[in-house]
Amino acid sequence: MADLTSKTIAELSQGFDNKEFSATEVVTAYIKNMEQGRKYNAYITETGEHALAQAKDCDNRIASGKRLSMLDGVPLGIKDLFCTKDIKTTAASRILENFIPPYESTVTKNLLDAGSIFIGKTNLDEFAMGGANLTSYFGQAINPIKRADGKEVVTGGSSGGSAAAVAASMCAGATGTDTGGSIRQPAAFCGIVGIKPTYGRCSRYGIIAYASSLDQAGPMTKTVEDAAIMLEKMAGFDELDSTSADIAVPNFTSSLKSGVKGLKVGVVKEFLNGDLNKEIAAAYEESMNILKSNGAEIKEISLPNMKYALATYYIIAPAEASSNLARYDGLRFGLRVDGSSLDEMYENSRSAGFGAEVKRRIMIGTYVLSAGYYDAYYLKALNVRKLIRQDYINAFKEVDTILTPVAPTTAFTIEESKSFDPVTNYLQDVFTVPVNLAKLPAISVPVKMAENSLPIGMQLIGRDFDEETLFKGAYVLEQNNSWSRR
Amino acid sequence: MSYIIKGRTCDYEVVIGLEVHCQVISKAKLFSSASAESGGTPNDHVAFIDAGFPGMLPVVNKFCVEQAVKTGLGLNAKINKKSVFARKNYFYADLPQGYQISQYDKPIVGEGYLDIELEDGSTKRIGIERLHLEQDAGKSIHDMLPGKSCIDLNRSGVALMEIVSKPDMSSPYEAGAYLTKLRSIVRYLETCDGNMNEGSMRCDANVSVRPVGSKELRTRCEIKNVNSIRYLMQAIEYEANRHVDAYDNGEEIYQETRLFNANKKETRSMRGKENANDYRYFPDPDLAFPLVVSDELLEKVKNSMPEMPEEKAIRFVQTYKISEDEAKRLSAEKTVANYFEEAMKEKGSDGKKTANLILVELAAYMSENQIENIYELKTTASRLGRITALVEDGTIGLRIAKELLPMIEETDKEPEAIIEEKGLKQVSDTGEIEKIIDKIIADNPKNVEEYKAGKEKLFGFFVGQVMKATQGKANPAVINKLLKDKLS
Amino acid sequence: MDTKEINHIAKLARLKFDEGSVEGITKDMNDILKWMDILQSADTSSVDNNEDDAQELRQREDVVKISNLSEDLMKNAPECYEHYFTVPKVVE
Repeated sequence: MADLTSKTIAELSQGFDNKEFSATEVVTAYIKNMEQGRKYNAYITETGEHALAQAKDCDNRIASGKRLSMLDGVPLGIKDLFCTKDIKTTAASRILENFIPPYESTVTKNLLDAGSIFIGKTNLDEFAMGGANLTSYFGQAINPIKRADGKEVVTGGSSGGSAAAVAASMCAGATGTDTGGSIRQPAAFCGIVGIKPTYGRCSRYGIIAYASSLDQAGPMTKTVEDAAIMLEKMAGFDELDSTSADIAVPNFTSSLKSGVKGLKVGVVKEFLNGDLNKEIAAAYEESMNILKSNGAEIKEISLPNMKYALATYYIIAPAEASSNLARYDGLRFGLRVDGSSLDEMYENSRSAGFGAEVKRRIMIGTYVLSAGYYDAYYLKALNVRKLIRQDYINAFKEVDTILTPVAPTTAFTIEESKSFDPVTNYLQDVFTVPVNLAKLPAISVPVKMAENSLPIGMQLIGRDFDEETLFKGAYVLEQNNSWSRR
Repeated sequence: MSYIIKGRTCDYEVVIGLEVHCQVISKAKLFSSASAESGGTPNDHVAFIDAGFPGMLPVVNKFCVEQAVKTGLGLNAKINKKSVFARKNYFYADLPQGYQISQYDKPIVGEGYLDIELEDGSTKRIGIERLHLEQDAGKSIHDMLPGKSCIDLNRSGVALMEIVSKPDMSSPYEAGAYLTKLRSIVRYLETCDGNMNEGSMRCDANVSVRPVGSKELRTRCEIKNVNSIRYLMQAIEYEANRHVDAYDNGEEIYQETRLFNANKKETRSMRGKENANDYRYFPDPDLAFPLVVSDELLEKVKNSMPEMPEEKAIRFVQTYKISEDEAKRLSAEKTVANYFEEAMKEKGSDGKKTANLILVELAAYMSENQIENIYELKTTASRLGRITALVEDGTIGLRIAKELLPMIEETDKEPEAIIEEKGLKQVSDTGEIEKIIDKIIADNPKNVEEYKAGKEKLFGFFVGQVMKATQGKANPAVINKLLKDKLS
Repeated sequence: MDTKEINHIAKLARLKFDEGSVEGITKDMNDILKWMDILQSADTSSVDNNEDDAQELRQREDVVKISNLSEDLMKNAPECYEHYFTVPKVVE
């Protein structure tokens, strides 16, 4: 039998339908890969046994020809930010090291209802705060793709474990969450596909919050088609989330391959004229050409307020985080380090439980909300956020989708990454962050291999709830680029 | 008759504003579907969000919103079509999320007012600044384990309405009257049960003083959680005098939070509050969209508004032929008003007499025995109604009616049974009464003489004597007629 | 921001920085805040704060769906007594 773990979700599904192999066989193959891939540190918790038990049920359904969906029997990695009932959920933080949720997040529940199998909880930056998976309490995840010079590079983050797990075929697909690029950037660094849907498309219920107004779940997969298959099941209105959108989820897979003829694709003047890395610029150009040669129309557009996006993001996200993370106080769950008074217990537990980057963001967030600084920082950022969204709304009067790079560089080495100061780290998010601020959907797809043999990703940004266009565009990029043919 | 504190250097007046927290009557909590019921096994009525668990999200309870709108209308206030939930960030053992979801710069209800009656019967209008919705905190129990506090989150997340008055009150009496009126309104509206001793209604008072005639607002102190109207008045009185003493002695008053000690009848500074809190309010991103009060909802709530005390009083005067004062006093408390109307449903009952028995006899009995709710009396509304009917049809006299009440309280028997048992029926037999009158006239020749000489006041003396001789059972109308005949 | 201000913010956030790390966080905070200054040049005068947000907060019915959770609720508790969570004694 050919290696089952090299198959896409679409191929697995077809194989199950044709009874070519069983879910148990597939899960067993993935467990083997997972064990062999432990060097990548992609998983915080492996749930192989649990997965095999699930696989039995799938096999019964396969046998009776009653599969629940295309995902029935498909082994998935779940970012360890999604609460999974009775399965340890840590947010890669010491403060939740032993936390076992008594409830299931809506997204993972949707995936379970579709028959998918969870084979483990994937590594991430602590509380999803980071862009290289270096802030995890459980150690960094490592990119399965090596640089040309043989050096190990970062996975990106925060969904680094999910990206590595998919890239190394340690699961057929994985969930991620994206607050400022946490799906798209690791997808780009690891050469896979990732989509951050429109804010409100996937329920946030049961996902450990980083920044509530920006967090959004999405799939990370080997192919665009797989991403469409997964998102269809992950998404949907949820009455348990006040920000969930009551909008029907389209059948993404059916329109996926309909092409980009006549599609108006915007390219951003400010980025073209800016100081783009040469290789990234070349990949940008190449992607435009692919779309153009497939019938799309390329139009230059302007997003004048993008220069404010990073500062805006690094005020709003930490502000919300400082409040969202106040609940980790050592009282009802999580790490407690005792003290002689309540306040001392709080300080001891939180100081021991949170890592440096999380503390840094809590500090920034607390500061920008504090008396005397609220207007200058937080309120200003809220207003600039509106300007940024307005930029996109204006642009979408001219075009149907906007093409930009995902990250300013390819993945860096772990040593390089560790030497960055916080601001340099934050600059990595320049292309991804504005999309979260504007609550728009965006898909990241690998398009080219850089000279250092690392992948370069491009993103397509869409109108509110128009993920369909993104899948169509990304599919064309995927089918025609040099990375896919590597 | 303004309230003035005489200081050594000058006379002071008091400036008082109240912040009242009212627990909203609802089945479920403000943002979760756990029961809002109080009591029960600790931590049993707690959804994961009420305990601040990771990833849990709030969804607002429609009925709590309606209750706030209803209360706003009852306070003659502006209902804001759009309001916003904000987070108030602070750490405390019984605040599981590390923030309270509240409303900050955009509350659901804006300015309004209510009218209170002063000691001299005049009316004063007290402004309402705002009403907003927020979550209640859990409870910390400090005396259960040595060295530990125990946390029960059953109350965590229950809906509260915080009603903030303007600093329009200028005496402890006015503050008491405001709180009484507010409690009456929320009880009428059934938006809060108003039970201060159970903590479902809690009051903080902001108190400052200033020289009479001055318009300045001096430093105020906030007195927390005063759990009865009487304590509120005592606390304000103490606090105002403390300020006056301080100013007299050339000392300063510092803005601070103080606690009232009901035993010592004094306020003291709260410990550990020296770090002024910085609550870092910001709009709650989990509840990002505005809370909208639609025209339909507003219309629906308007149509569901019950008859309020003022309207009820007017109707009572017209329907039951009682005085305006009686009607006002009866309708001040919804329970009393309901009790009165229930009593009036009894065939033959009389408004005037029923009102009188409630406002004088039963009120005295309740206050002596510390009964808060008139429905706890053994003298049910139906029994009271029947008693006044029996007075009306001449079966018993008014004096017997009054005497019946404590007997019913003691025995829980029907009034008719007690009357029968104790032979309390009124005597209207002219012959029997005539005999008694003859005897009294014979025994008191001096008084008869004086009466006939013009001392008409003595008529009452004769009536009294007849009543005494018949143990109050003689029909007063018969006595009057016979006495007049005999003494003329 | 100086160390004093850092300690004040840390206190608000219930975090503690020891001698060794307070300098680092102070520098980071100052660098980050300086970098954020760019926002002050953004012209937000055109932003309409009363912009009509088409969406409104969804509301749920007043129905009790959850009860008797205390067992599930206490499972993760670092310390409890009977049905209570416990903490070092709070003095009011």
